[in-house]
Amino acid sequence: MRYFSSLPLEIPYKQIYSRLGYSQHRTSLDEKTRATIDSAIRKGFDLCSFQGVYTTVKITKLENSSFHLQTGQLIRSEYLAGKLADFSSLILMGATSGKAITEETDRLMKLGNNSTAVIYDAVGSESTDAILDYLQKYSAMEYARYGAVLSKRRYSPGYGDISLEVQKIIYDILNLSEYGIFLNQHYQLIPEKSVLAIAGTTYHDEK
Amino acid sequence: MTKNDFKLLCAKKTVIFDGSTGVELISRGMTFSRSLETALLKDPDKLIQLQREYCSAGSDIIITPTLGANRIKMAEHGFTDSTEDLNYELTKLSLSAVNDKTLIFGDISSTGRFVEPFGDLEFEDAVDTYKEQVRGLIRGGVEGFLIETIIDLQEARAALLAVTESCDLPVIICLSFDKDGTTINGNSAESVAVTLQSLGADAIGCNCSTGPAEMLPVIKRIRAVTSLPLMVKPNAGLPALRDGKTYFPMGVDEFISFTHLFHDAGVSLIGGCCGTNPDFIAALSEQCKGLVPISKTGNPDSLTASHRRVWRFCGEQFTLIGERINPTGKKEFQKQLRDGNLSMIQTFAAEQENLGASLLDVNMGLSGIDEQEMMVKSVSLLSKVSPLPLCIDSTRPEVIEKALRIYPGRALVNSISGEKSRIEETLPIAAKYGAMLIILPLDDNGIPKTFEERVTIINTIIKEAAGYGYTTADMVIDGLVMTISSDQQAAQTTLRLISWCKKQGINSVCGLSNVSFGLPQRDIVNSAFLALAARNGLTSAIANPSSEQLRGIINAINSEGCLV
Repeated sequence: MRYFSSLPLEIPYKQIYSRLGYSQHRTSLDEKTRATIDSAIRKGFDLCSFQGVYTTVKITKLENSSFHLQTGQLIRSEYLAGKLADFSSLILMGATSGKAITEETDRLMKLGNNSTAVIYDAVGSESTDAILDYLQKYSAMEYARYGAVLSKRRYSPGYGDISLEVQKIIYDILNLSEYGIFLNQHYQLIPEKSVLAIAGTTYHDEK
Repeated sequence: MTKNDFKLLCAKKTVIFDGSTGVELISRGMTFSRSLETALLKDPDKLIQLQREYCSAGSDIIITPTLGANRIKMAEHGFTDSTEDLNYELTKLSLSAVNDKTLIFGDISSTGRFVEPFGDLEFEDAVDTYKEQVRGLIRGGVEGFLIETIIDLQEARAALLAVTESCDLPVIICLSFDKDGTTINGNSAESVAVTLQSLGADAIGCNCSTGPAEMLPVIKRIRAVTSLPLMVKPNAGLPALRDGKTYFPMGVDEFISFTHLFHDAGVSLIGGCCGTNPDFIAALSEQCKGLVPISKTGNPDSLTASHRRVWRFCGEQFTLIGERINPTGKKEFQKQLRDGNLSMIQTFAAEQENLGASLLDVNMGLSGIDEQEMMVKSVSLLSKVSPLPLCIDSTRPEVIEKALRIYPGRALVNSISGEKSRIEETLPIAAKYGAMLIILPLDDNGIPKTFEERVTIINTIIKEAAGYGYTTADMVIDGLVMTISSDQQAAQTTLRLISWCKKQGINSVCGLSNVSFGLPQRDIVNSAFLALAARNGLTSAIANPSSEQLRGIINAINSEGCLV
């Protein structure tokens, strides 16, 4: 298990603008508007408190589109089985941008400052995704030292046929309650700007 | 081996390193439940065999199997004994494997944690952790060091300082870059090279992460900003998956087909990383026979760096050093600093960057605050939030030392004068961390009135700084402009000095707002003086970039090519 209490992320401006609906090639912004948005993005980013954690779990059996994990759990997904069948282990990742960004977004909405709230919301979402990008790159480098590789893509519960209930499996294995991340009865993560993901690796097998 | 011996070796021949250790040992059936390092002590035969094969293949330098043998990394595997002893033992193991023609370098790599200001590992803890490892490697008998497979410039700095503060042996640093020439922590190849060269590395390069094809453009970028020997240790291509197993797709012939391209790019030390083995090294060694490295010629550049970006003085653009992060005359900022609130620093940094500043001057001189503490906090904050290199502005050597030690880049120090205390205390500190210098032409007798006296002081400082390895490329001469409200000739003296700097090929700077002190319409006076100074060869100014008029003049300077 590798845990990062802070991460050296840069502001993902491009992704935030894209989420806000601006197209890099089609939208032109005047200097003042861009400065205003950039300033809000910076302030939103400062509210984020980044944490990330990942671990690998050996796949003991892949049968009928079900991954049997060494930890005893079972993840069923035809989609995932199609993508990660060649890997011997799953890498499970968790990321959060903390609660302050969501609390400030909600506060601004209540005040009627919807435009800044929308920017903050985009900052929280894209920054959390940037954490997962970072974890994926970092773990790929780490495992390369053992001659292992990672899948290029990652997959999150709720997408394709990966049920939201898988959140609970990842949550428990990563022991996320220790890091101030909680899971409600609807399998939603709290703080809201938190994401879990799965990728494939050969790490355990090679070791 | 002395640093000079190493330099001569790198000039004489292309030096061959070894290939992969960890991945190759695993492929040869080495298994371990905790760390490879401790497993090797119990079962050293495969390592000794591998290192002997590398020697036979032609490796001039073999590295110790101590990649992860630092206290923090070893603790992850439950190892709590002395890492000094562990490194000593592993070095002895390598020494027993090699012949007397082969040199042993101590291998050092990441702790796996992020160092402040980007993470929660305190910088001094990182340095101490590496020093423990370095002690063991020295005791074991290494001839030099290879710091490698690092993705964070600040961690590389900590490791480098651990070595340079422990011994005078040569040290090579290789970071792992993505295809785009940045580490995954966002450090650009140029920033890494400029920062580590100025901090005392003897060679710089890249290893792991990519294959030779991806590494070639990165090494060319590094060559553009450094004259140090360059090193590459590529993987045998990018690892891929086949039948559920990892493989490195590049064969020996394809791997060594890059050798001449690396040589042409200025590489003088070459080896292999993951996916390579003694066959690769044998072929590499054969191909490098008689290949004399190409040394870089030409004048050195004047470069400062943040961890993300490099700024070249006297490049194509006039250098504007933003002056706003200074509490003098700013009541609200003073109040915030006294309350320990740094939010205005961040605002000033962003505003000045948006308005075209090239560097940020940071001054925390204010009564009622701990200047040293606030400077460290400001430098840490700015390192995280701004891509611009910093200019550390203080009269106190201890403040400058703390700031330079923590700063993950190459800063500009404001300033070194001819005063005894600056020469004896501040200059050695700046030199230790390789900072660029603003040279102030005044001494213990005060500010000289005449041009000639100023030049005499400058020449004295240049001579003193040369004793620490500085050249004039590392310096920016302050024209020391005085207010024309009290002495109308003051500006003339400054302009003459700037003109002299241009003739000498030395960069110059002015604290622009001084010229108009006590006058009305200061913005107009400042801008007019800037235009005059630029015509005389001024290459940079410390000023407030929010002045539209001033920015207009700078745009004109840049477009008219006054700097050329």
